[in-house]
Amino acid sequence: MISELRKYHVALTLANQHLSQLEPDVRDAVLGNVGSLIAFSRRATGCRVAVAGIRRAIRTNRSDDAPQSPYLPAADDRRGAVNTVQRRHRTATCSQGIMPTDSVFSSGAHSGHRSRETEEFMSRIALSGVLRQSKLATLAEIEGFESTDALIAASAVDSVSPGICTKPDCDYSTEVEPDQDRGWCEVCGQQTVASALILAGLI
Amino acid sequence: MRRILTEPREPLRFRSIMDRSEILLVNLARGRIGEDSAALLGSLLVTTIGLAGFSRANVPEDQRPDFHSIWTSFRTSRR
Repeated sequence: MISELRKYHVALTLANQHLSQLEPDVRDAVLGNVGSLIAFSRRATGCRVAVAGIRRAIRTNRSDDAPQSPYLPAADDRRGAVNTVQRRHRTATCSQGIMPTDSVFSSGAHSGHRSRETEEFMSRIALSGVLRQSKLATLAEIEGFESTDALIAASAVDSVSPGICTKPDCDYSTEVEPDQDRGWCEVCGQQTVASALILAGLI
Repeated sequence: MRRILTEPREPLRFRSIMDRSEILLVNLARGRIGEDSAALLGSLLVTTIGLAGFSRANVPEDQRPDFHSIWTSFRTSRR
């Protein structure tokens, strides 16, 4: 019903303390159809889902060819455009930096697939200084900090820390424990998320 | 509950409330009417509002007035 009433000009505003108050199918319908998400806390589990949705919307809005959303800043915002370009540049640099490891690995893996343990191990080895800095910069941008220093300073005094997937081609981010170095990445399906403090080498 | 569920003299016309942009306030506080009653009435209200919305199919889309339904502490599961 939530997904069908829009064209009948019936709007719905739901206010809940946490998402678990909704049954799973209703929750999916709500999160799949709402035009605006407002979360007042980033620490509750349900709010993390909302924050992740907001982040996705902002990323989509920042891309050059994405449709404009009336709820988000304009996509032609210069700073956002510059950030997008910089992020792409960093991703490209990051991929080039990781290439030697992948090449060496691929040359020895022509006969079959890599195991998950080997993948994780190689991912950790590949987490070079360049990649750490790149991931920190990306995480700072996603979280809305002006610099990586600001991100680290905020994470150091908080009970949770932003974390990001350490895979070169994945920028999945979420809130994790400050000492988390094997958080779960929903995109990769692996334990590849590291906190900002881990990436910065402070823990 | 009996007064609400049995036929009242002037029943609530949700379609009329929608089309005339009227305001309907419903207090489903579990502390006042009980958890089971709140869940039952809440389900009935959601369904009725939905059906009233669907009944607007006989009105051209650009002539359907906006109707906002606001639910606080909306629960779909009983605990």
